[in-house]
This record gives sequence, structure tokens and C-alpha cells, in this order.
Amino acid sequence: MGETGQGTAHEPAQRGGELKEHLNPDQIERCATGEPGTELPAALGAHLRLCSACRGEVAALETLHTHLRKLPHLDPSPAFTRRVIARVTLPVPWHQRAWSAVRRRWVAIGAGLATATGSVGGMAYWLFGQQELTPSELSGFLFSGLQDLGLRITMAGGRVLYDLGILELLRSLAENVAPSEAAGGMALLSLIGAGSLWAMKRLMEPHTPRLSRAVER
Amino acid sequence: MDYSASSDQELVLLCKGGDERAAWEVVTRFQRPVFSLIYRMVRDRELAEDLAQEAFVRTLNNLNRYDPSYKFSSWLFKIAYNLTVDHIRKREIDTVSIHGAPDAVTAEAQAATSVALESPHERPDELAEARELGGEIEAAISELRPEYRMAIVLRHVEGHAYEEIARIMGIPLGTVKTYIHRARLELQGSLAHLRED
Repeated sequence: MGETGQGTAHEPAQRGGELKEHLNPDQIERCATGEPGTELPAALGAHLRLCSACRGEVAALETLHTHLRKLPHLDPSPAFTRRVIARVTLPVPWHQRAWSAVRRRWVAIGAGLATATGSVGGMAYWLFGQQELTPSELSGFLFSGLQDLGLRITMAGGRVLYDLGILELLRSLAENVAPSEAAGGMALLSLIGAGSLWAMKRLMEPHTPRLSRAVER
Repeated sequence: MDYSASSDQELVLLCKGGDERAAWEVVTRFQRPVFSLIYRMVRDRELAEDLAQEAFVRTLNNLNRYDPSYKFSSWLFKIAYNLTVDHIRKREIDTVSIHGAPDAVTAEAQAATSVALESPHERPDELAEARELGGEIEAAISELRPEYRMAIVLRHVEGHAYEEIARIMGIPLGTVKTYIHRARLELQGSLAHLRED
């Protein structure tokens, strides 16, 4: 460090504008790396003009800062992004997750739906064919124990089915179709349901590409 | 949609909605600074790529833990820093030459693990000079203690503010200033011959 009468690196300067001590590291950095166009406080500038020790520190830091800023960013290999994305599992909204689950388990869901359809159909066949219940008696039998909001909603749904003639159709079928024919019909309906689910799965695939598929592209 | 024009926060929101192209843009945008930082810490290209890859995967797979009140880049760098420091502590990697990994003994191994330092658009003479100067500086940086190295690179190469560096490294602001001050002194000592030249 140079000795100019204004102080050394170890002694406070006595004539440095308003600053009587050497610049602290923050001030040195501000002088050395300050943004272009921003003005230094007058006190710092005045001190620098008179203190060669601080001037030297600022110059040294300026040089170092310039060298470091010139260091280039290094490039990873070209396949870097692809490899990262292949391992990423992004959060997926609930409706996409639900649909994805349906697509993954379409066989089980299809089988479940077919079983449920067969069970309900069989029960309806038995009730209409063997017990000879009217639609209103059927409603009373099914829903007599239910008195909450779910009951009213279900009743409204049953009313819609009745209005659409579906219950009448089932009753007619029960009266005119033999049990073996009904079982065959149920099996056919189950096959159609499973086939429809499979077709829907195939149709939806191009619209919901997974990350791994994007990576393959 | 122009993903390259989106802000970091917008990209994060898109990623949270499952947008894979936003994730692609995040990686493209930050891969060079993150890889550079890690490479300057471990001095091994393959290892740096593995660590950088892991940093991005952890970041993107845990976006629900990101606090949007902080800069996304700080969070990403923090994950990268923690991974790198954990690795260094585990493997006790020492500072090595910029010409390859510590365990690279053959010329082929050194070539495979080293990184070219030149930047584009330079004339051959400028390139040679920059490579020589860059090599000196890189070597001087590699001789610093890991925490000094990280702090000085984040500050002077990546241009982060002190507060961000403190957040990334998980240490008090005063400690960051101390690290950077000491790192500067050591670098100035190591590079004194350049100034004399």
C-alpha cells in the first residue's frame, strides 16, 4: 500500500473528505463494482481521491471483479435437458389424475361396471318378474328406509327413469324374456361396456402425452 | 405460448399445472449457471452433470414446497448448493486442476472430465489469451475452500446479492461477507502475478 500522508492500510486517513477512516469492505465493493451510471456518494469519492491505500484496494477489486465476470458459463452435454425431463414427475391437477387412474385401471373399472350393471339388472329382473311389483311399489321397497337428502335425489332420479320408460322396459323384458336370454343380454352389455372403455382409452391417449413420451419424441 | 418470454414465477405456476414445456424451459434457462456453479465446485464434468441433473429433478419434483416470496433461482441454487456440499463432504473432493477430475489419470479420462473454457465470438489470439487467463482464474478459484469458492462464484460470476447468497448457503449475511472478503484476498494473492504482468 502506498503512503501518501493520508494514511496507510492500517491507519485511519486524516484528510479524506468527510471520511476520516479507510473505506470498509462494503464501501470498497461499492466503489469497485458499482453499477454504471450510478453516482458514488461524494464522501466516498473525496476519500478515494486522497487515499492511495483505498484507491489501490478499489483498483485490485475492480480487476478481480472484471476477471471473474468474464468467466464463461459452461455448457452441460446436449442431452442434459432431455435426461432431466425424463426423471421429472410434474404435479398433475386432480381431474387429470382421476382420468389417468381411470385409463390405467380401465380393465378393473370396466369389469366393476359390468358386474354392477349385471347385478342391478338381475335384481330388477327378479323384482319385476318374481315379485310382480309396480314401479311405485318398487320405489317404496327400495327407498322406504331412506329419508335424507340422498333419498330425495335418488327418488328424483328414479322418477326420471320412470318417465323415460326405462323401468317399464325392464318390466316388459322381465315378463317376456327368459332368464337364460336375459343372462346372455347382460353378458353382451358387459362386453359392449368394456369395449367402449377400451375405445375411450385409446382415443384419449394422444391428448394426454406423458413426459416419457415427450422425451422419446 | 412463448415460454421463453415468461417470468420464472409464471413458469413455476405452469409447471405446477403439469405443463411439461414449462419444465423444459426452466431447465433450459438455468442449466448453464447451475452446471457452471457445480462444475466450479467439483471440477469433474460428469459428476457436475449428475449433480446438476439431480438438482433440477429435486427442484421440479418438489415445486409444492417452493415459497414464491423468494426468487425461484435462489431456491434452485440452494438445492444445487446443498447437493454439491453434501457430495463434497461425503467424497471429500479436493481442489484439482481444471484439466480434469481428481481420479482422471489417463489423457482420455482427463479429456472426458474437463471442460473447455472459451466463449464464442472470440478471435483465435483472444481465445488463447482468454483461455490462459480463464485457466489461471479457474485454477485460483479451485484452490479456495469450498464455502469461499461458492460464495465468490455466486457473488462475482453469477451476480447474486449478498442476501440471496446467504439464503442459498443457509448462513448469516455477515458470514457471507466474511467468506467473500477472504476469498477476494486469497484470489488477489494467487493472481498477483497477472497484475504485475
